[in-house]
Amino acid sequence: MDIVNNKVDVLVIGAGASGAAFSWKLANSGIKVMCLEQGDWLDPLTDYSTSNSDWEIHRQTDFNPNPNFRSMKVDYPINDTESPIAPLMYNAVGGSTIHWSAHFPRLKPSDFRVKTLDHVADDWPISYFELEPYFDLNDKMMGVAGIIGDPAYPPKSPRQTPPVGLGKLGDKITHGFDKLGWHWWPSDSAINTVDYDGRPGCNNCGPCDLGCSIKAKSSTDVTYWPKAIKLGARLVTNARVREITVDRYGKAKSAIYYDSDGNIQEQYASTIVLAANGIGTPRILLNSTSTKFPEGLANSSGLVGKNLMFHPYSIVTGIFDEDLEGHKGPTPLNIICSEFYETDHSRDFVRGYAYQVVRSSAPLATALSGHVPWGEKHHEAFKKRFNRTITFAVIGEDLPETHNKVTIDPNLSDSFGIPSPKIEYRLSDNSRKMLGHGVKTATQVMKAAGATEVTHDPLKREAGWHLMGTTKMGADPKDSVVNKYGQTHDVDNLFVIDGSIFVTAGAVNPTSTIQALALHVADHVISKSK
Amino acid sequence: MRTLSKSNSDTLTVIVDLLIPKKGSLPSPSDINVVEHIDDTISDAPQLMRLFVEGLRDINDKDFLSLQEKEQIDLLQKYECSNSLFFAELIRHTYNGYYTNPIVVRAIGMTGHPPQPKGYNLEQGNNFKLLEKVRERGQIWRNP
Ligand SMILES: Cc1cc2nc3c(=O)[nH]c(=O)nc-3n(C[C@H](O)[C@H](O)[C@H](O)COP(=O)(O)OP(=O)(O)OC[C@H]3O[C@@H](n4cnc5c(N)ncnc54)[C@H](O)[C@@H]3O)c2cc1C
Ligand code: SF4
Repeated sequence: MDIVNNKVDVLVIGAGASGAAFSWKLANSGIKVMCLEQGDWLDPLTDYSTSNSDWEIHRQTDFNPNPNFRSMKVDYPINDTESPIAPLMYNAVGGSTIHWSAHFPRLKPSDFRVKTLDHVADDWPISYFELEPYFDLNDKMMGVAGIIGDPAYPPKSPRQTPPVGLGKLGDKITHGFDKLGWHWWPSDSAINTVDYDGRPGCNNCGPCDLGCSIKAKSSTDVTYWPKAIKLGARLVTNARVREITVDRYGKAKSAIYYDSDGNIQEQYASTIVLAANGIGTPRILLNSTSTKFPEGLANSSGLVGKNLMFHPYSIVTGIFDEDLEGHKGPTPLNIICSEFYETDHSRDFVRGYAYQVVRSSAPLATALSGHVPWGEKHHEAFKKRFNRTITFAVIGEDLPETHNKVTIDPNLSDSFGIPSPKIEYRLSDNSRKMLGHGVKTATQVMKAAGATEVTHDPLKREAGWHLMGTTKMGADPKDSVVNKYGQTHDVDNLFVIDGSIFVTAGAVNPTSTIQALALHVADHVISKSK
Repeated sequence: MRTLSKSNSDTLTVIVDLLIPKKGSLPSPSDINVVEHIDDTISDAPQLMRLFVEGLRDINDKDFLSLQEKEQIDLLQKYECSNSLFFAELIRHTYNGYYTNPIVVRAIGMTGHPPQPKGYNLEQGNNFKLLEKVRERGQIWRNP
C-alpha cells in the first residue's frame, strides 16, 4: 500500500446521480462524508463542444456515450459482445448525468407491485407512496420543468419551472395523439426552463447529450455537488476503486483505490456506500473477494451482477413534408405517452411501455442516419429528412432474468489492471412482443400526425442508458442482495444506492427514482448514526 | 497536407466531390477543405491512416484520375461492396467535414452558428391547451 488515509464516517464510491444526492443529504446532517470518483470535474464552459463548429463530431469521440468507443483514461472497457444492447455511461463528477437527456419521470405506483398485480418478477419492499417525500425533495434539488395534473400519475407537488416548449414539432405530433384520443403529457424534465436555484433557463440550443455549457440542464455536478461541498462533503477525483476490504468480523473496512499518479491508496471508513451504477457496482463487489467472501462481497445469494435490466428501445421515425424547426429546443422534447404503460390482459405480453418524443437530428446526424446516400441523390435525401423528422423512443419494461448479467471478464482489464466487466443479455419473448406492439402504435400516431413515411429500428443497440437490477433489493437474503434501506444483507455497514438495487425496471427513465431511493437510504444512515 | 501524398490527395479531392456533388448554394466538399479535414483527422489516428492510405492506393492503382466520371462512380460503387470498412470511414469523415462547416450549415437553412452560446428561440407551441382533454379522460395510473 502506498498511502493509508484516516478513517471517515461514510465513504461513497461514485459521484454520479445517486452518489451526489446521497452525499449532499449526509453533509446536510453534519455527517463527515467522502466520495471517491474515478473521473474528474468537467468545466461546462471549456470542456463541452457545443460552442465549436465541430460539435457534432464529438459524439463520435470524447463525448460518445459508449465507454468502449470513448476509451479515455477515466473509462473502463466493458465486454458487450454477448449483448444486443451496448451499455452507455459517463465517468466524471456528475456521472452519466453529464450525458443524460434529463427526462425525469418517476416510476409509477404499479411498478413497485408487479408480482401482486401481474404475477411476474417481484414486488419491491418499498412503495411509490413511501418514496414520495424523497421524490419531492429530489425534484426541488434538481429543478424540474413540467405541468402537474398528468392522469398517468397520482397528483404531484408543483413543478419548479414551466414545461419545455413544444415548438412547431411538438404541436405537430401532439395533434396525432389528440386525433387518436391517446394519452400524452409534457414529461417531467430536469431542465431549467427559466432561471431557478442560481442557474439560468435553457436557451433551446438542442444537444443536451453533449453537456450543457450554460448549466440549465440539471447534471449533478451543477446541482447537488456544489451544495454538498459547501456543507463539508469531500470529493476526491481521479480515484478508481479496485476493491472493498473486510475485517475479520466480515464488516466493510476500507476501499483500495488508484489515484491519478497510479499510487495505491487505502481509505478506511465506518460505512461504505456504493454508487458506481448498475455495472460499476457489481464489478467492484465481484472484484472484492476474500476468504470470507470468495464469490464476491455481499454475494451469499449469488445474485450480485444478475438480473441486469436495460430498458430495450425501439426507434420509430416519421418523416413530414414541412420544416418542423426540429433543431430548436432540447433534443429530448420530453413528451411522454403512457397510453400502453399498464398491463392489459388482452395483449400477448405483460407490463407495458411508454414512448418519448425526440426532435429532429442535427445536420451531421441526419447525414449519417443511414438514409442519406452518397452521389447524385445525396442532397435530395438530406433535404427530405433534415428538420422534418420526429422520432419516438419506445421504451419497454424488461423483466429481471438471472441469465442477463454482469460478470468479471478474465481477459479484460482497465488501465490500472483492474478486471473489467462482461455483459450477457438476451431480449425476452415478452420484451420482443411488447416492442413490436409499440412500433405498431407509434406508427399509428405518426400517421395520424401526418407523417408521409415511417421507418423503424426494432431494437436500438446503442441504447443501454439505464443500468438496473444487479444488486436487487428485497426482504429475503436468499433472494436479494440489499434490504429496503440499500443495506447489504451480508455486510451491515455496506450499502448500495444506485440503479443496481432496482427490483424491476418500470418503463420510464430511472434516475428520478434512483435519486429518491438514494435520499431514502441516506435518511436511514443518518438515523442509524444518531 | 500532413499525411496524404499529392497523388492521394488529388484522388481524394475527386472522390469527395463525387460523394457530395456541388448543388446551388451547397458547395462541393473540395471547395470547403474537406480533404484537409480528412488529412488532419487521419494524421492523429494511426489505424485510420493506414486504412485511408491503403484504400486510396488501391483506387489509384486503377488509374482512377484518368477515368470518365461515370466510370469513377462505377468504381466507387464496387469499392463500397469490396472494401466496406474503408468506404464507411470515407463516408463518415467526408460527411463530418462537410456538415460541420458553417458555410454548409448556413446553406441548409440554419444560422451557421454552433448551438451555444446563442441558442435558439423556440415557440412555446399552441397545443398545451389540448391537455385538458387528456385530463378529462381521467386517471390511467393503476392503483395497487
Ligand atoms: C446518453 C445518456 C442519456 C441518458 N438520459 C437519461 C434520461 O433522460 N433520464 C434518465 O432518467 N436517465 C438517463 N440516463 C441514465 C442516467 O444518466 C443514469 O440513470 C444515472 O446517471 C445513474 O446514476 P448512478 O448514480 O447509478 O450512476 P452514474 O451517474 O453513472 O454514476 C456512477 C459514477 O461512479 C463512478 N465510478 C464507477 N466505478 C468506479 C470506481 N471503480 N471507482 C470510482 N468511481 C467509480 C463513475 O465514474 C460515475 O461517475 C442517460 C444516460 C446516458 C449515458
Ligand atoms: S437545450 Fe437547453 S438544457 Fe439542453 S444543452 Fe441546450 S441550453 Fe442546456
